[in-house]
Order: sequence, then C-alpha cells, then structure tokens
Amino acid sequence: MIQAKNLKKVYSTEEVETTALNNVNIEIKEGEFVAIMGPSGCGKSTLLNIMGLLDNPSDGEYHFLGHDVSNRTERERAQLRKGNIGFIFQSFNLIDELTVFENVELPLLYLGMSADERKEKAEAALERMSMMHRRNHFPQQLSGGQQQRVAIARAVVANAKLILADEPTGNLDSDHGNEVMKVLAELNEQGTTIVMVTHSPHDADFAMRVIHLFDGHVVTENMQEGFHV
Amino acid sequence: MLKNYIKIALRSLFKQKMYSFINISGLALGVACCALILLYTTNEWSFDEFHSKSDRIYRAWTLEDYGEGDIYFNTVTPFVLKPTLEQSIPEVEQIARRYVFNDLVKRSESDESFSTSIQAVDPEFFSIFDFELLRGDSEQLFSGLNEVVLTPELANQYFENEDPLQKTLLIMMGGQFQAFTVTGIIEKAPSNSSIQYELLIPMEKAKTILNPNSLLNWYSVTPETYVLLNEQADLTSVQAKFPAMMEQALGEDYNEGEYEVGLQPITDIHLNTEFPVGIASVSDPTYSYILGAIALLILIIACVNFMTLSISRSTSRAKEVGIRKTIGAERHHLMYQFWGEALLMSVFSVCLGALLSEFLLPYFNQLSGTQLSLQLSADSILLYSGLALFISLIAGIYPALVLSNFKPIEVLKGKLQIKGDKSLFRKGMVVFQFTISIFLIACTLMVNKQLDFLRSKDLGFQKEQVVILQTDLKLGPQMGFSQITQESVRKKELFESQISGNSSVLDLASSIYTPAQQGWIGVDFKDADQQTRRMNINFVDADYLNMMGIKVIEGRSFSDEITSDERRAIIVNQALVDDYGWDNAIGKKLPGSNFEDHEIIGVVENFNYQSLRTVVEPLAMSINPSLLLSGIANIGFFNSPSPRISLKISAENIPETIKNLEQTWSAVSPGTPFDFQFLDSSIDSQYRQEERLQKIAISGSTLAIIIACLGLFGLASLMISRRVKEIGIRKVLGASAASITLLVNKEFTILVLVSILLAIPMAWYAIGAWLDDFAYKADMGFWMYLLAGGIAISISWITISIQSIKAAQVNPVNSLKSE
Repeated sequence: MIQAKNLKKVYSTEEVETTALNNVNIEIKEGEFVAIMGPSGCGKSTLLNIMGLLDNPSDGEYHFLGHDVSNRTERERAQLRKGNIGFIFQSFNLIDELTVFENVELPLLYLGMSADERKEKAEAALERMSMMHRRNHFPQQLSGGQQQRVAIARAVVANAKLILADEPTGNLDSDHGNEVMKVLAELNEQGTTIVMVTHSPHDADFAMRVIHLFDGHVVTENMQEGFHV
Repeated sequence: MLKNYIKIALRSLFKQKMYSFINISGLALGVACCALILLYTTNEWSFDEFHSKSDRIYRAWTLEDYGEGDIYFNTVTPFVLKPTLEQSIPEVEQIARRYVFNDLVKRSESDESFSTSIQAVDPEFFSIFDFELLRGDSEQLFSGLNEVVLTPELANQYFENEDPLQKTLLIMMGGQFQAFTVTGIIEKAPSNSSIQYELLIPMEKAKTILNPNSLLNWYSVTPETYVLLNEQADLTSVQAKFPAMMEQALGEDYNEGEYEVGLQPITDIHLNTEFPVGIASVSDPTYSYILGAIALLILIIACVNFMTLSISRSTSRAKEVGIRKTIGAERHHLMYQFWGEALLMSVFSVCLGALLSEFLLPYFNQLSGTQLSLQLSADSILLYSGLALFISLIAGIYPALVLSNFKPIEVLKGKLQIKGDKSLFRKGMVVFQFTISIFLIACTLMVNKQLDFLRSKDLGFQKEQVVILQTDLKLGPQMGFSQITQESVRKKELFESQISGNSSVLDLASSIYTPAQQGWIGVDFKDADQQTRRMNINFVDADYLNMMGIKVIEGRSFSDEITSDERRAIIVNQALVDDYGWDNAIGKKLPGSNFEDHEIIGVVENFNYQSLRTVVEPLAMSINPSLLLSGIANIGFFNSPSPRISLKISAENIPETIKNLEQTWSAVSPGTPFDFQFLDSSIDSQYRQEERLQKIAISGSTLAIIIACLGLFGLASLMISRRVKEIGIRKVLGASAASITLLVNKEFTILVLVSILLAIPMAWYAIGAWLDDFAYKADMGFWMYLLAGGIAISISWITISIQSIKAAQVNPVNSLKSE
C-alpha cells in the first residue's frame, strides 16, 4: 500500500535549514498496524504528513496505492486523499460549530454523496463507535475519549483504506486511552491499515510492527510477536 | 452542502457575537446611509421625469444680446411668446404659461385673510402636465375667468370638512378682493417636480391686473412658457425656425442675433445652474455630488471593515480550514463557503440597513430639507440585492482567497502565517479608512468654521434685534414706485405715532428692500460716456441709514430737515465710487452729468446687503424713486418691490414686544396679515444649503469615524492575538502593563499619522473648491487639519487601548501556555 524510498524532507527558513527526514525507506502492506516511535523532533509527524498526502517530500519517492505521489499538486493530493485516508489527531480536531453527526458526515459531503446515503453511513459509523446517543451534541459537551471516538468515526465513515493516527491517546487519561486503542485494534482486525505515531510503549504494543525514528533516520524496525487484542 | 455552509455560518456568527455585531452593524450603518443618500440623489436626478410627456415638454428661454456685455438671458418670457409660437411653429402641440405672485386670500368678507402663493396658468396646464386633477372637469376647467383650482391641503385650510367645489374664495387682485369659484381640486405636485403650486387661477384673469403694455411687449418678461411639441417634432429643426419667427414678430426692431428664443427640456431645469433661475426651483448639483461621495466613502469604509475583520477572524477559522482540508475539502469548496458566509452576512446587513434607513428617514428628511419616502419597488429590491452581492464580492474576497489557501498541516500545527501579514495590505486598509475619516472630519471642521464666519462677520449694519414687517403694498398698474414709497412712509409714520408710548421699540424706518432679500432692484444704464454700467438700487426713507447703523464715510446722510433731499439727493456705496473711479463722489450726478438734479450727497461704507457669496456690488439709494429710475434703460427684480418697515427693538422681553407690534399693526393696516421676521434669522437663512451640508457632513464624518473605529477595534484584537506570546514573554521579563499598552498603540499611531499626511492635501483641495463659491472666506488655519488629525488619533487610541490594556493585564502564564 505504501512504499517510501529515500524520503527526504528539509524545512528551510531564511537562515536555518532543518532536515526532518533523511533517507527514509518504509514499506507498509495492506492490513498492517504500524506504530512509529521516537523522541520529540525526530520526524515522526513529518513522515505521517507525507504518508497522509498532506505534504510533499523534498526528495525521494513515495508510492500510495500504486501511484507515485512524490510531487503532486495540492489539488491532486486532495483528490487522492478523499475517501482513501482517514486522520486521527491528538487534539481530536473536531469542528466546534458542528454537532457530532455533522462532523462525521462532513467527509461524505465533500465526496458529493446524497443526504440519504450520508445519513446511513454516518449513523453506521457512529453506531460502530457507540456514539449514536450523542449524535446531536456539540464536541465541547463530550469527554476527551468520546471526542476521539467521534474523530475515529469521522476517519472511517468513508471506508478509508488507511488510517493515520497522530498520538491518538496523547490528550487522554489511561482508561480512555485504552478504549481508543481497542477501537483502533478492532478496525485493524476488520481490515483497515493503520499507521500510528506514538510516544507510548503501551500503545505501541497494539501494533504489529514498530518503526523507531531518530533524527530523521529509521533506526530499527521490529516485528512484534503476538500483539495484544 | 449549502445547508452545511449556512449552518456553519450562522453558528459562527452567534459564537463570535462581538465580531458579528461589529461587522453587521458597521455594514448596516453604511448601507442605511448609502440608501438614504441614494434616495436623495435619485430624487434630485429624476426631477420632472414623472410627466408621461416629459421628453416632449420644454421651457422657453429668451436671450437678448446687444453687444458689449449688454446681455439679458431669461427663462421667464414675454406673454406674447405663446401666441407667436402657436402661429409660427406647426410642431407645437400645446403651450402653457405660468406666473406666480403672492397676495391675500380669504373665504368671505368677514374672514381673516392669508398671504398665499397664487399661480396664474393657461388651461393647457392641465393637459400638458401629469398633475392629477382629483375633482372637476379638465375639459371645462378655466373656461370662465373667475375660477380657482386648489390643492386638497389648501382647500382643507379654507373649507375644512366642507365640500370645496363650487364654493367662493376671495382673492386680492389689483388692490381689491374679487370672488372666484372653486371648480377643481388638484393633487399637490410631487416633491420631485420643479413646478409647485397650491392655488391656480386662469392666466386670462391675471392679465386683467397687469400693465396692458407688458402683455404685448417683447422686452418685458414675466411668465414661464412651457411648450409641448408633437411626437414627430425634432428639437433642432424646431429651434431653427425661431430666428425667422422673431424677425417677423419684431419687424423693423429685429437685428440678427439680438433676440434669440430657445427651448430647454423640462427634465434639465432642476440641476442646470447655467440657465438663469425662472419660477421653477433650481438646485446646485454640486451638493448631490458631495452627498453621493460621502455615501460612497462610508460604504467603502464599511466594506473595508468587513474585510479587515474577516482577516482578524481568520486565525480562529484556520483550524476549521485545516480540518476541512484534511478530510477532503478542496480549495473551491472553501472559497464557496467563505463567499457564502460573506453573502449571508451582507444580506443580513443590507436587510438591517434597509430597515434602519426606513427608521432614519424622518431625521434624514429633516437634515436634507426634503420630503422623501421609501417605497419597496422592484427597483429598490434589485438595488438592495445588487448592493448585497457587491458587498459580499468585495468583502468576501480576502477570506475566500486567503483562508482557502491555508496549508492544512501548518494550521493544525499552529504554525500559521497569514499571507499578506507582512505586506502593506492590512496596514494599507487602516490607512485608507483613516484617511477618509480624517478627510471628512477636516472638511466638517472647515464647513463649521466658514459658517461661523458667515454668521459672525460684521456686515456693516445692525442686524440684531431688528424686526422687519412686510407691508401689503405692491407695485402694480394702480401703484407706481412713487406711490408705494409714499404710502409706505405714511404707514410707517402712522405706526410710529401709534407705538410712540412703547419703550421697547427704539427706532423704525421704511425701505423697499431689506438686506438678505435676494437681488435688490438691478438696473443697467449708459453713463455720460455711453458706457454700460450696472448697479443695484433701493428706496429708503430719511431715517433708514441711521436706524440700520450704516456708516457714512463721505458727505452726509439723508435728513428730514433738508427738504431738497427728497427731490435730488442720492447716496451711493464705496463700491459704486470705485466702479466710476471717482476721487470725490460728492456732488457727482447719476446716471450721468446730464441729470443735473440727481446729486450724490453721501457715500456709505460697503455693507453686505447681499449674501457673502458675492462681493458688495455698486449701490445707490434715494428717497425719491424717480431720481434713480429716470435715465435707466433696463430694470430687473427677483422679488416684486414691496415696502417693508424695519424696527429696532430692545433685547428685553421680545415676545411681549412682538405681541404689542401685532396689535398696533392691526390698527395701522387692518385686514393685512402681520408678516414679520427677524433680520438676523433671514440673513442666516441665506446659508440654508450650507447649513444642510454642515449637518450632513457632521453626521457623515461621525459615522465614518465610528465605522473605521469598529474596524480598528477588530484589527487591534487580531494583532494582539498574534502577539500574545510576545506580550507574555515581555511581561515575564518585567514589562509593565503601561509599556505594553504603549507598544501596541504605537504601531497604529504611526498608521494614523500617515493617514493625516494623506488626508491633509485632499481636504485642502476639496475645501478650497467649495470656498470658491464665497466672496468672503474664513481663514483656514493649518491648526484645523491638526485638530482633525488629533481627533482621529484620540479616538483611535481609545479604541485600541480597550484591547491593549486588556491584553497587557492577562497573566503571562496563560498566554504562554496557549502557545
């Protein structure tokens, strides 16, 4: 599903040049659950953004679903992103002015689906996350764990093949965090590919494979044996 | 999708109540102001267009040119023009003349009479124009001589609830009351008609009281002549026939090019100041341009506000943009969304503005001296929709283009850098708004100063506590100038003897004209050297100059003791002496040395008997009218000469004095109305248009600065929200709240200073152009511009400080944590 060859990402301001990723080579197959770990500033989020087609690499090749997407325009990347990739953020990133249902429905709106279809899919996603009873609430009225479940519902509502999670439990206490990890593991069991950035070894235990980054390099790649469910 | 946008738009409107309020109220104010002024200007520009035949109706003019500047251009015409046109020009369908005079009208012999504007018209008046005849038969109207047609308002004044038709009304004609029968009721003319009336009588009747010579004479001009051409007529070819017509009409008096006749479209009358004023009112188009410009400036300020506030809101919308983009929104989705929001907001504002304009209309009418009404028509709906669309396009352009271009990862990571932040765009907007505001403030101050100057300038005579009484004496076939002046002096003396016990009347005198009456008698004549000269004249009694405090600088004033004064004495002003270039005017003769008896006995200092728009023109005064009228080729007057008595009263208990005067008046002049005015207020009334401009300028500039400050408020909050971290760090390092307030205010102060520099030359130019209309100008000191700038700086400081003081007091722990 994902092939990255010699990925390089350099951020430059007027005077300083910072290399966030340097010669990163990664391959992720469909149905995998991969965790990316490493200290702050090692390039985890940068890698996730490139994988999620939110950003272009400065150099190297990146293939997503068989397409070379290393140097696509914003518009082309947006087209490919739609319906294929779901995002989950540490700070949930729900739109405060929209209700739970409307937040979940939003990706379908941009896919141009009819109202009936949207209703059906959004309700199914909420049902799956056990959030139907909260469908008319606004994000601020929910607990952190609930907000993250809504965010997951939004990520999966369009049947995304890949879910990218950026420290999904970073803002949650351990109970709620566990809950969210279980949901992700379930999704993975049902066939969704998941790539997750995390600081937490506990969360990483849910993944099949852990990639360690340090100063923009891949240092180790471990296959986990018999990960927990 | 649309539903989603509207939902988001409404919810974010409600969530950020402050911004929404500023944005919507600013725009609504701008729209209301614009709508009202637009209403006023469209009214001005659409004068007389309501007549269904307005494209075929013309007003005739005459132009006599005898060379050497000896030109008489008039839009009032000879009576004889109508029959002549009817005979010689086949394209003429109908012609109606109108002639207006004031006289007394009452219901019956025993009733009190009222001075009323009486309009004599030809019967064609009712078919050429679209004035609606509410009652009566338009075919039969004015078939008799003693018929009268009234407006419902006037009919109500005389007959109250009775049916006015076939009732009798007594109208003073040629010195005696005559009975007229009411045969029609006609709707009052709309406010955008240059022809206004309240009482109409047949022209044929009016002719009976006029000098028979003037009815046949081509050199005596009295009525306006309105010509309706037939549908096939071509104006150029019609006008081409006029020289031949005049040649035939004047016979041997005709010289080519000396006597021209022409036609002016009726729709051109109201705003064309190049034609002389006839009976129809004329308005200076400059004032509608100025008003239009003020409206446009205010609307632009409001739109700019909308933009700047949208930018300031964009930081809080950035996250939403980021999320939407990550989950699949494309740029065009977001552009539609933001443009849609702007449209929603502007539709909201325009609706609110429309309501507000309805609410403000009575005040606006008062301000502009109009009687406009707002009607919801297809046109106005189209106009409002257009306005909403225009505003949303302009105001939504920045958020639509810039917000939609945010990079999702940057905003989600909080690394947002709004493009254009470093550019001059944002600062340019502030400078733009403040330049306009300061310009308007400076202009308002200048208009104020000029008006103060006009009101307080020493006019060279006593204007306070002078009451002027209008006599009922009028120049006419029965009464010449000599009779009315003699009769007026007699009335004055009678009045004087009656009031002699009253200590509140200090002095009194009579004259044909008093200051502030537009155009005293203007005369043209050839002096001994055959040079054409112009002067104004007035006939006064021996006490007038003394009573008015007009200073005699050479020779002496008129005297009751010197009986020859009445026969031969003339007093002139300095301007006349300068015009002739005399070293010593005393003993000189007017109009020339061949008039041995017309001797100048005194010269008075120039006093401003006309408005301060014009310099003091040459003036001659005498007790005896024939002294100044013999040897004069041409006489013209705007107001028909009617003597007035001027009284100097004491400043104490003025209402009581007026009451006493009224009682005395009814004994001296029974049956005539007590028509009085204060000289100072009638002098002030000459500047009514300027006063209106002043009021509108004050309202306009206040509105502009309010709207600009709303924008500044929003911008300051934007800037502060971006500098939260900097402010936090400064505070941790020990900065005081005052120094932080100063830091934030400084940036905006520089912008306002730049605006002052830009606004000064603009205001200087505009004020200079406006002052060109005045012969006497207030000194426009540079400090006025500084004052305008000072006002702008102070108001902007208050606005910004509300935000910056708040920001400076925030606990730095909170502001640093939020980063």
